[in-house]
Amino acid sequence: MANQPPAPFVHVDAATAADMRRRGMDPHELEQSARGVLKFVYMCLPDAPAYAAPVLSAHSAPSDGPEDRISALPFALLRNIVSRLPAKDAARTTALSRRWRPVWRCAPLALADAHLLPGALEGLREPLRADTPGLAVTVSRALAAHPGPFGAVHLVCGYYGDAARQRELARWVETFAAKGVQELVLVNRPWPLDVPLPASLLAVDTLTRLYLGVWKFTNTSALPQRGAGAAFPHLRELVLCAMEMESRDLDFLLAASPVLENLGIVGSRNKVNRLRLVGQHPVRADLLERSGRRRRGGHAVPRAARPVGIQDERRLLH
Amino acid sequence: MEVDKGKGEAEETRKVAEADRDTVTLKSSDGKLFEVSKEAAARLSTVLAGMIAGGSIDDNGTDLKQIGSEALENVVDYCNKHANSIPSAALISSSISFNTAPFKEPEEWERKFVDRLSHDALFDLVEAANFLGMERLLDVTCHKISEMMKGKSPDQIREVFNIKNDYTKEELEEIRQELAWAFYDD
Repeated sequence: MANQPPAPFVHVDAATAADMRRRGMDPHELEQSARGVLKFVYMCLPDAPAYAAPVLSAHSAPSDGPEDRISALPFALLRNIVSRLPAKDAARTTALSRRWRPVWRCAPLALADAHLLPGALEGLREPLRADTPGLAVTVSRALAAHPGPFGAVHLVCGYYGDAARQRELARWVETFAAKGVQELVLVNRPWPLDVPLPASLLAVDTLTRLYLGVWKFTNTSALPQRGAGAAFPHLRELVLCAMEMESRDLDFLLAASPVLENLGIVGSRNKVNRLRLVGQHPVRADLLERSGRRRRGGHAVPRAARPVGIQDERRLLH
Repeated sequence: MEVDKGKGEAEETRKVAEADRDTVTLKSSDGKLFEVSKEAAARLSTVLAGMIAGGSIDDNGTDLKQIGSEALENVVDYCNKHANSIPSAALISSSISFNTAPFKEPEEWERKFVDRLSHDALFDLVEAANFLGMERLLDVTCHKISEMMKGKSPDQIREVFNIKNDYTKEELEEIRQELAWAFYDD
């Protein structure tokens, strides 16, 4: 207790903080801007799968008689029901009875790391760096136990700064490519801001919806442009939040996504300052401002008529 | 009114002989008759849509032998409520994401609609919705059932639904080992 306890940074790591102090800058400012960026990124994400606000209608009539009505439902309906549960609840249904044992593995997996941190979705606690290893173990096990395909995987609570975490992420992405996933949301919580996305993401050809936040995009300059054999033949919606990427990477992504309908670019950190939509797809592009001013009002305006603006977040990060 | 609501179904309904009627009469397994908006029935039930389009709707009551009167009353009630409801803001989404994923969350009135049902009535309704090919009503009822399971241990779920545990102790232990990540905080 003799020493002054260090300020509790959530995002800025020790090395970065020390470096800033050495250069006469206040790391708290960096912490604040990282916080702001992340808050905005979270606002742009789709809801976690299988999430309903704390169950208000949990009171439910107890069963009227001794009959087991639920197990008598057709298998397809049991799958429907299980696919709506958070991953842990869903996996536990295998223990109900023999009838239920195969259901979870036959229902598309809905996995959100935020479900694994009680209170995170309600805003009662913030995912900390120290939570990442524990979360990662559970995510790895869930992805291994389920044969696929995965319906939705949302990983938004992790810090992927160190090399071991990045190797693990690369293995998950390889699993996505092998087992198939439709909706994928991946966010890296800073620091650092330039964690590279695994290149194997370009092999996940089942994606219909992809949200990426605070990554350094794979360098696509060395990759061949894939016209006919598109990397993302089913991708309809792509949203890039606070990504470090070049215009050519975006061009690559667009060329790889022949059926893309919605494109969102939220605060580009780098050099995506021109967007070339040469009309090969009927893409609806939204470039959202960071102010959040348009956040709610946007719905009142037909999407195509939404005003377009882009703001470089470099300002916020320096 | 029919013009207002009809839209996509207008052509389909025109094929039907009794096109001037805007309701259809359905008959439950126990012989009770219910009237339902033809437009809503065709929009919400693939089976009824097929029957209406194919002209196999009986003016004196189309027989639905698999559905009891209580469940059919709920089905009809749901269709009529649906015909009158205005999509709420919640349907349009609460985030700035594009929200192109199929909408799965029930609306407020749908929530209330299934919340008031007894356990048996809920399951009768799921089965009726399944039989009639009512995707939306299936979503709403399955969602309700999943909420009854959420956050509960297998023991608690078995209790709510009268599920008989037919595993041996060893089998159950095997499952818990296999999926330890899902069980460890029990």
